[in-house]
This record gives sequence, C-alpha cells and structure tokens, in this order.
Amino acid sequence: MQARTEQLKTLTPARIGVSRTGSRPLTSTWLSFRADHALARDAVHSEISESFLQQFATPRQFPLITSTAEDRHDFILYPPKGKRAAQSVLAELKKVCPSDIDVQIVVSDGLSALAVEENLLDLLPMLEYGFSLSNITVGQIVIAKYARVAIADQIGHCLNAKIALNLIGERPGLSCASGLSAYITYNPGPQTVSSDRTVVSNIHKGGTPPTEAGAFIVKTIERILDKKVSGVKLQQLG
Amino acid sequence: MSNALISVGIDIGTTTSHLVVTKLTFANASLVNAAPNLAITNREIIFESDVFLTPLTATGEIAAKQTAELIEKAYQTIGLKKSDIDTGALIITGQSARARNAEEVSAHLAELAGDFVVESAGPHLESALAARGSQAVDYSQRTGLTILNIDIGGGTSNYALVADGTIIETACLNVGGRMLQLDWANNTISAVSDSALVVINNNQKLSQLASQLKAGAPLKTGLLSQLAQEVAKTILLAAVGRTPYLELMLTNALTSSPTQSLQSLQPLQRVDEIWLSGGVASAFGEEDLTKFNDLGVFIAQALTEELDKQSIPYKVAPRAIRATVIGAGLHTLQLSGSTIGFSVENLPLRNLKLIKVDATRSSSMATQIAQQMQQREHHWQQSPVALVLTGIKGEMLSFTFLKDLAVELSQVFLDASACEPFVLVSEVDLAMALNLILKGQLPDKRIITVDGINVAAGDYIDIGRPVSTSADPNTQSLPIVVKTLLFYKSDK
Repeated sequence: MQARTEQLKTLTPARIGVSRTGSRPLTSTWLSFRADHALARDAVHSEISESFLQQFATPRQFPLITSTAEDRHDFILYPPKGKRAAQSVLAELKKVCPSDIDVQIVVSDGLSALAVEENLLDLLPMLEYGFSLSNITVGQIVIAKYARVAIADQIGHCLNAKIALNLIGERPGLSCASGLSAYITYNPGPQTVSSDRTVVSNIHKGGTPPTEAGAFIVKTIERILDKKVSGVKLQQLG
Repeated sequence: MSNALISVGIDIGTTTSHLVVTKLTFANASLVNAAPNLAITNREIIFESDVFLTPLTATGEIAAKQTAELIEKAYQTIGLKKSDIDTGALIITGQSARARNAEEVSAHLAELAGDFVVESAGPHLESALAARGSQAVDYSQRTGLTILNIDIGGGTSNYALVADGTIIETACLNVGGRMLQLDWANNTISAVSDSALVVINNNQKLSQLASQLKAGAPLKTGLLSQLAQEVAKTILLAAVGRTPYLELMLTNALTSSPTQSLQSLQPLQRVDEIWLSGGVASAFGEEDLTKFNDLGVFIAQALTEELDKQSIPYKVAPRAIRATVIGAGLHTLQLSGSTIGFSVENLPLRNLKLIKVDATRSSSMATQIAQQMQQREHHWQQSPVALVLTGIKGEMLSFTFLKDLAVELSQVFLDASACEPFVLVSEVDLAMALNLILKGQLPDKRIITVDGINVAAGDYIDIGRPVSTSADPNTQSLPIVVKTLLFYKSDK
C-alpha cells in the first residue's frame, strides 16, 4: 500500500497522502506547506529583477513602463490602478514604438514576476520566430510593471495594433508560483471587456511548456486575424 | 463535430473468430483556457458477434473468402456499414497468424473494415490486448495490484505482467487447447500439433505412450488428462519464466517474473493475482469433456487442479473468451497531443517503421538513424519512417534546444533524399513548436510531428485522420496505433 501511495503521489502536485501526527500534520508536511506558501506570497510581492531586465530588455531597448500604481504595495492594495497607464506614459510609448502593427506584445508582471522570468526567455523567441514565419508584424515589445490584463488593450489601442497580446504572471498557487497566461484581444480599446479576450493559461514547465505554448499562441493569433474576432465570439465559431 | 469514433475489433483465432464494435468517446481533458488536449473519456462495447468457428481450407489454411463473408454477415445483422467504421484492429491471433496465408487473409479482410483498420498480430501485441480486454490492466490501475494475465487460446498462451496499470512485460507460449484435435463421433484423435509433440517427446512417461497419442489413435480420456496436466504445468512454469520446453516460446521468456521456480510460486512474491482469459479460461468449471473437439476442457481442468493444489490465487476474467477482441476494439487506439503539426492530405499513414533516436546523445542523429536503418533493414528510399525522439525531458524544452534539434533534423532530411512525409514522434509536449521551427528550416517539405505518444514497446505505427471537438484547426488530435510485429515469423 505504501508503494501505491507513493505512485499516486507522483500523479499530482496536490498534497495527498501527507500523513499526520495526532491531529496535526507532520513537521515535514507543515514545513513544505509553509515553504510553498511563502513562495507564492513572495511571487505576489516580487518585482521583475534588475538582472533579468538587463539580460532581456536592455539589449533590445524594450521600453519599461509602470501602471498608475506607485509601487508594488500600492498595486496589491488597489488593483484597479494596474489596469491603466498614465496618458503621459502612453504618449512616450507612441514616440518610441512603431504603430499600425498586427500584434502588440506587452509583458506584465501581474501577480507573479517569477512567471515572467521563468518563461519569457523561451516563450518570446518562439513567438517571434512564428510571427515572422507567418509575416505577422510585431511592434516593439513593452514591459509593464504593476500591470494587470487590461493594460495591454490600452497600449494596443494607443499604437493602433490589430491585436493586443499580454503575457502576464498568473496568481500563484501552492503548487506552482510561476504560471504565465497569454491574453489575446482582437481590436483592443476602451470598449474591450473580459469576454473579448482569448486566453492561453497555465504556461510553465509543469503545464504547457513555454515553447509549445508559443507555437499555439502563434497559430491562435493566425486564426484570430483570419476570423477578426477573439474571446467568446471566437469560441462560438465552433 | 462528432466526438466519438466507431472502432471495430476482429479476432481471427486458431479455433474461433468473432468481432466487437465499440464506441470511443473523446473530449478536451485540458484545464479551462489552457492549451487543448483531447483524450478518450469513454470506451463502450455496442455490439458483440457470436463466436464462430474459423473456416479452414482442406489444407488447414484460413479460408479467407468464407471468413470475410461471415464478418460481412455480422455487420449486416447490426446494420453497420463499412463507411461507419473509423478505426479498429484486425488481429490474426495465435497459430493462425503463423499460417502460410495470414497476409492474404489480412488483405481480404482489411477491405471490410473501413479506412483505418490495423491488420496486425504478433505475440507481444496480442498479450497486451488480452490483458487490456480482460480488464486486468484497468483493475491493476484502480487497485495498484500486480496482475499476471494469461490468455490461453486455441493455439497460444499469452502472458502480460501488469503493475499499477502498466504492462511491464509480455510473453507468448505456443501452447493452447488446439494442440490436439479430437473426433468424439469416431472416438479418435484427429490431429496432433507440433507443439503437442514437443511436450510428449520431452516427457518420460508421455513419450513411452507416444504411439497412443497420434492422429488416428483411439481416444483415451485418462491419457489426455495426463497430457493436459503436463501442459498445465508448462503454462504455469512459463508464468515464472521457466518453461522446460524453450522451443515452445514464441518470444523471450518472462524475466521480471515473480519467482524462480514453480515450487516457490506459492506464495507469489510479486504477483497479487493471476487472471485467466481466452477460450480455455472460459472452459473453467466445464465438466463435459466432449464439449469441444480439442484439449481445451482437459487443460482447463488440469489448470484448476494445479492452481488449487498450489493455493495460487486466480480469477477467470469476465468475458474471458473475448478478452483479446475487446482489447483490440477498445484499446489499440491512442490519441496524440492536440498541439501538433500535420497536413490532412498526408493522412492516413500506415505501417511506418519506428526508428528511435536519442535526441540528447552526443552521437549525431544521422549516425544513429543510419545504424537503426541498417539494423532494421530499411532504406530511406523504400518508404517513409517515423523518427521517434527519445531521451527528452520536459525541463529540456528551451527554444535553443528545439532550434538546434530542428537544424540537425533538417540536415538529416535534406541529406538522405529521404521519403516524405517526414514523421516525428515524441512523448513530451513539443510537436507544434518543433513543427513550426522545422517549417522555417524546410519550407517546402511535408512534415508531420505528433507528441503525447509512448512507443516504447512498438515497432510500427499507423497514423489516422484528425479528430476534433471544435472547428478550431489548432485543436486536433491524431489517432495513433502503435504495433509490434506485423505477423509472426513463419518459423521461429
């Protein structure tokens, strides 16, 4: 039975068969729970690291912007602030980014900067390879701090992109703190609501690998450009 | 969109033949909003034919035309048209697969069985199908018990050792109910098979009585029981990898067997239960020796005694006689991952040889492929093959890794003047990404990449036309059948 439990435990990251002592969990179980919880909390509070930005953003001069939140703390306490960037920030982006493009990519920390750091180095080259193969134009990639999903629609609208693609850190859980989601909006703008967005979630090494997710996002965007709809309307096509 | 496949399993056995029609339902088993992944969610038997005697010609070959007619009749009974069938397996089992005309029969029947029916047999596949069809695999998966399924048919006994729902080893012994054919009306033995002769000649007591155990000799039930006892012991010895008659093994003996000898079979160290299926298992509890005109009932009785004597726990599988055909109908098909790469006009593809290359080894892929091709007596120019990428773990799937892999593969494809389409198979989730990168390298080549498929035990692969639950072309899966030998070798 012991071997069976061990075998079943390999099938799921969920905390099963963790045993107990009296009415309390084992010390090792409790410590691993605390460790995972701490990792999840850290992910929420973490910022995209300087070293990562230097490796990833600096060489290609990706503009780094912040939402209307003042800092990470402000962003966590007042979530609506993460949905928008200030007009001055947008005006600045207009100067440095090409507009009238097919896809505007925004990389957002969301609720896990860790997710961005762990997945982007494999996801982004895959996306760029696929887009260039399909002759889909991508403007300058924008990195947004303290940002939520909707900020990409605002940026995409401002740069007159057909599609806004937000690669954003998911809310961490106790089994995975580095999951990334891709939110895709056709014709993004002030009118955009949640149901307009197509989502590819659960992108991480234990879910859909970032490379495979990248290929799938490219194919999905090809279809969205063809059908000229995204979100629920795309699903309703069958 | 239809979310079900109609699958047919046809079993042409040494003694009897029959078929089942099954329905495989599939659905997207992925998390909401995550990349899609179709999986078979339900397997259901919708029709079981009667078991009929396999028509044989005067010279003992399978009568292809008559067999086809019987199957056609079974289709008519339920109003099934050829065009209704999406997939399935036609298996020519046991000794009948070694009959000289197995391939001819197969060609005749494949016609009848839709576009994507695998015609195959082979001792390993047969053993695995029987263990799935007897529900031993399912039971082992649910309970975590280790089960040895022994399917004893007319011609052969097929072994499959199953642990935690995984078939770890298979083997096949050339022993079954049809070793001796009996003519109860004239009270004589009508035929003695070569495998029966092996048992008789190698046993001291039986060899002295050999003259009474040949075609035309009068039928003595006591003597037949004696022979059946020896056969039963042989079957159980092979269960622990120790058959006294090596020439009767059609495969290697089981190596991960529970114990070293029949004596220490009790108690079984690793096997929790023995499951019995096949025609002989279905004769367990039968008291009328004249029920069949072969040794089946005798062997069933001898086995019961032997198992009881040694206190070996066993179970006769539900639907014992149909285990192999149910396995064939319900379990030959796998669905690939749903993020893959293919063009529908290249499908279906059948009987692709699997060439396994370790994508993480330092020796070049071209070298590895050349070696494998030589071993498997194949040339690029002959027909397309399927390259199986092994050794890749999920955490290796960086963009750089895939890019390097694609570059190396494209060189292989360019150099070899290889046969298109190029088919790549992987267990880990990389097919759509690899396909995209390869398209960048080889824009004019036809390339099919599938993942989510375990081909560890296979030699050949069939790839069917895509299935889907939505109109999205990016969420389709390919039905895949992994096979072992196409046919038994005509002599061992």
